[in-house]
Amino acid sequence: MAQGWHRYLYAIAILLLFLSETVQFFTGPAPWAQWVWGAIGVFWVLGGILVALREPRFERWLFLASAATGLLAGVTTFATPVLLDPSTWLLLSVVLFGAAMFAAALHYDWQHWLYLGPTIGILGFILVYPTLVTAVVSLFENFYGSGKTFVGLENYVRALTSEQGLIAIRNTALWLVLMTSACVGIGLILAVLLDRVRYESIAKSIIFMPMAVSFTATAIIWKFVYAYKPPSIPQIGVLNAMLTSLEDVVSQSAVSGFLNGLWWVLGVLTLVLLLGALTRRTWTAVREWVDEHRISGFAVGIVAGVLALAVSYLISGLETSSLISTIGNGLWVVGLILLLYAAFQDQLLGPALLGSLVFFGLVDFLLSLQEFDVTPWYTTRNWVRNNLVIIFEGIWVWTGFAMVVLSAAYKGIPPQMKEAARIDGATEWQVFWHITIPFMKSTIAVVTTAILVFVLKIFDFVWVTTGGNFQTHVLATLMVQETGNFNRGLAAVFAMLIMIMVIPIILVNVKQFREQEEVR
Amino acid sequence: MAQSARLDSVSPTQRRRSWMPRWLRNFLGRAPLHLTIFIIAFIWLIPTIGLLITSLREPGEALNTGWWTVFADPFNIQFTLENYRETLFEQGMGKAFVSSFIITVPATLIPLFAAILAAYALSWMEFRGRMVLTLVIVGLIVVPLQTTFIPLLQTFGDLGIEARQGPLFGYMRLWIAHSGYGLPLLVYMSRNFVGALPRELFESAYIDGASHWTAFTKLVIPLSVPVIASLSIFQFLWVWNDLIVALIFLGGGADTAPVTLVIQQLQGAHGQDWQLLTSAAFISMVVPLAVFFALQRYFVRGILAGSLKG
Repeated sequence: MAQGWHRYLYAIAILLLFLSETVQFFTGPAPWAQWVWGAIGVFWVLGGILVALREPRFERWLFLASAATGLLAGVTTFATPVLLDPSTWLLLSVVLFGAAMFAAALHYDWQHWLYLGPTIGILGFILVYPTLVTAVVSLFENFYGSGKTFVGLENYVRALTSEQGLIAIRNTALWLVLMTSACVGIGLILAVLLDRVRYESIAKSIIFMPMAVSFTATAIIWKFVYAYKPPSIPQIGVLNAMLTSLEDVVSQSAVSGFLNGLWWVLGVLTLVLLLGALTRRTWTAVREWVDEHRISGFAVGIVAGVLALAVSYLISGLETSSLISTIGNGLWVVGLILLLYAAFQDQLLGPALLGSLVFFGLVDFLLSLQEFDVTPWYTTRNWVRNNLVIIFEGIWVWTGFAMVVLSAAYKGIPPQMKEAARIDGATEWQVFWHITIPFMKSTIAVVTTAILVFVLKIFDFVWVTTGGNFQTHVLATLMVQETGNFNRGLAAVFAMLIMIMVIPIILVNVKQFREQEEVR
Repeated sequence: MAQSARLDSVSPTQRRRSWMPRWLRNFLGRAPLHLTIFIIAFIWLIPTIGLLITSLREPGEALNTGWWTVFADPFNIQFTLENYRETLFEQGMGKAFVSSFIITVPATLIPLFAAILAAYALSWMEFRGRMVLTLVIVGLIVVPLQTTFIPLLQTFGDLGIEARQGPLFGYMRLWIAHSGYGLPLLVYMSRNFVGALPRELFESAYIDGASHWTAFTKLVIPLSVPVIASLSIFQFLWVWNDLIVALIFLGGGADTAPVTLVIQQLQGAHGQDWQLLTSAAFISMVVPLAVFFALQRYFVRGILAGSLKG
C-alpha cells in the first residue's frame, strides 16, 4: 500500500462522493446520482480487493472484508436483503475500512493520522464544514426548504438595511468599544494597584470569581441589582434603593443650600486666584508652595476641580446667550486637551488631572441625582442606557480575566527597571507610562484580542436580560432569533457578519503564532 | 499610588519637617489606593451576596423588602431553605443539575483526550503539512460558533439524531458540539505545553525503542498532568456555564436541559419571583464556585496558558 496505484482507487471513490455531494448541494437531488453511487461502489470494492491482494500484512483481510461488505451493500440495494439491510452493510464496510486503515497506519509511517484523526474529524464536522455551508446558505433564499433560490447578496442587503440589523450592528460596536476598553483599563489599574497591597490574593479572588459563574447566572444576579419597583414602594434592587436614599440626602434643603453656598464662596475666591494665576510668577509660586508643603498632586487636582467647577457655575449663572456657553464648552475642551498633554510632561499635573477627573465624576453624579428618579434601567426608551446596563454585566465578568493576565505580566517586569527609574527621580506616573506600559504592550494586545473575540459572540447576557428587546439586540442574539423564526438566509448573514469581523483577528493570531514558532 | 511614591521618594531630612506623625502620613498616603481597591471589590462582591441572601429569605419578605434589611436586625434573621426545595424539586433544577453533569463530563473528556493526542502529533511527529495543520487549528480558535448552527442543525436532522427524542441523542448532540467548539483552544494550549517538554527526553526514549504510543502514554500523559488539570477545569466550566449551545441543539427538551437553560426558562415564566430565580442561580453556581475556590491555581494557570504566548 505504501507503493502502487491501487490506493488511488479509494481516493477516487471518496473524491467522487465528495464531488457529487457538493454539486447536489447546490442543485438539489439529481437523477444521475445513482450512477455516481454505482461508480463509487465499484472503486470501493475494487480498491479493497486489490489492496488485499497486494498487501503483505494481516490488515489485508480487513480490507478484503471491507470490500466484501461493500459489495453486499451494493447487491442488497438492488436485490433482496441478505441478512442485513443495505445501509447496515455499508456502515459495516466503512467501519472495517477504518479498522484496516488503523492497522495499516500502525505499520507504515502514517501514525500521526491516528493521533490527529479524532481532532480533524471533530473539527471538520463541527467547525469547518458548517462554516463553509453557512457562507453558502447566506446567499440563498429558503435554502433548506422547497423553494430554494439563489439570491446573491440580497440577504446581506436586507440584513444591513433592516431596522433590527442596524440596531444589532450599532450595539455590537458599542459592546466592542466599551466592554473591551473598560475591562482592559480596570484590569490594568487593578494589576498595578494590587501589587502594592498585602491582601492581593483575596482581592484578586473576589474580582476574578465572576469568571467562574455562568453568564446566565450573572444576568440573573444583575437583573436583581437593577430590579425596579414603582417609586412609591420600597425598592428591592440595590441600585434603585441606593438612588432613592442618595436622592433623599441631596435634595434635603439644608444639604442643597450648603452645596450652593459653597459654590458661590469658591467662585469668588477662584476669580481672585485666576487673575493672579495669569502671571507666570504666581504659577511658580503655587508650585513652590505645593512642593514645600508636600501636598500631593491628587489633592491639588481635587482643589482645582472645585475651583474650576465654581468658575463654570459663576459663568453659567451670568450667561445670557447660547454663544457664551458654546465658547465656554470650547474652552473646556481646549483646556482638557492642554491638561492631558501637560499630564504626560509634568509631575504635578498628572496626578492632579486624575484627581480633578475623579472629583468631577463625583460631583456630576451627585448633582444629577437631584433630577434622577428610580428607573427600570434596561427597559427604558434610552437605548444607550439599556445597553450600558447590560454591558456592565460583561465588564463585571471579564475584568477578572484581564486583571489576572495583566497582573502576571506586570510581575514579570524586572523590578530593577522600575527601581532604577525611581532612583533617577521618575514619578510613579512616569514609571507607569514609560516602563510598565511598554513592557506589557504585547500582553495588553493579547488580552484585548481575547476580549474582542468574546464580545463579538456575546449572547447570554442579552438573551437572558432583555431577550433583545428595548433596542438591545446584538448580532449573536439576532442570529439565534432569526434561526428560531426559520429565516435561515438572514440568520446565516448575521453569523457571517460575525465571521467577517473575526477574520482580521484570525490573520493576526496566525501571524503571531508563526513568529512565536520561529523563536522557539 | 502617586501619593505613596511621593512620600517614599523624599529624603529623611525633608520628612522630618512635616507636622504629621509618620504612621498617619503613611496611612493617608496609601488611603486612595486602599479606597479604590475596596470600592471595586465591593462592587464586585455585593451582587453575589445579595443573591445568596435573597435565595434564603421567605418569599413574602424577599419580594417586598431589600435583602440588606436583614442586617438591620441581625439577631432575628429568619432564613429558610424552602426556595431551594421548590426550585430543586418542583421547578426541575434537580433534574437539570444531573443533566448538566451528564453533558459536561463527556464533553470535557472527549475533546481533552483528542487534543492531547493531536498535541503530541503536532509537536513530536515529523510529517509533511504539520505547520499548515497547526496554523489551521490556531485559526479555528476564534471562529464564532454561531456560523455553525444552521448547517449543524440540518445535519443532525439528516442523520436522524434530531428526530430521535431519546435523552441520549440530545446529550450526544451536545457532546459532539461542545467537543468541536472547545478543541481548537485545547489543542493550541496543550500543544504549547507538550511541545515545550525537553527534546532529550523523547530522543532517548525513541533510541531505547519506544514507540510513539509508549512515548505518549508513559511520557506525555504523566508529565502533562498539571496542564491536563488546567485544561479540564477550563473546558468543564465552559460547558457547564454554556447557554447558547444547549439552547440551539437541545431544542428546549425539558428532560435533558442543563441548569443554564432551566434558569433561562424559569426567568421567562417566573420573571418576578426573585426568591426562585436567585436560588436557581445559586444552585447553578455551586459547582463552578467549588471548582474555582478548590482549584484556583490550576484555573488561573489555564487562563494564563490560553492567553499568554508559550
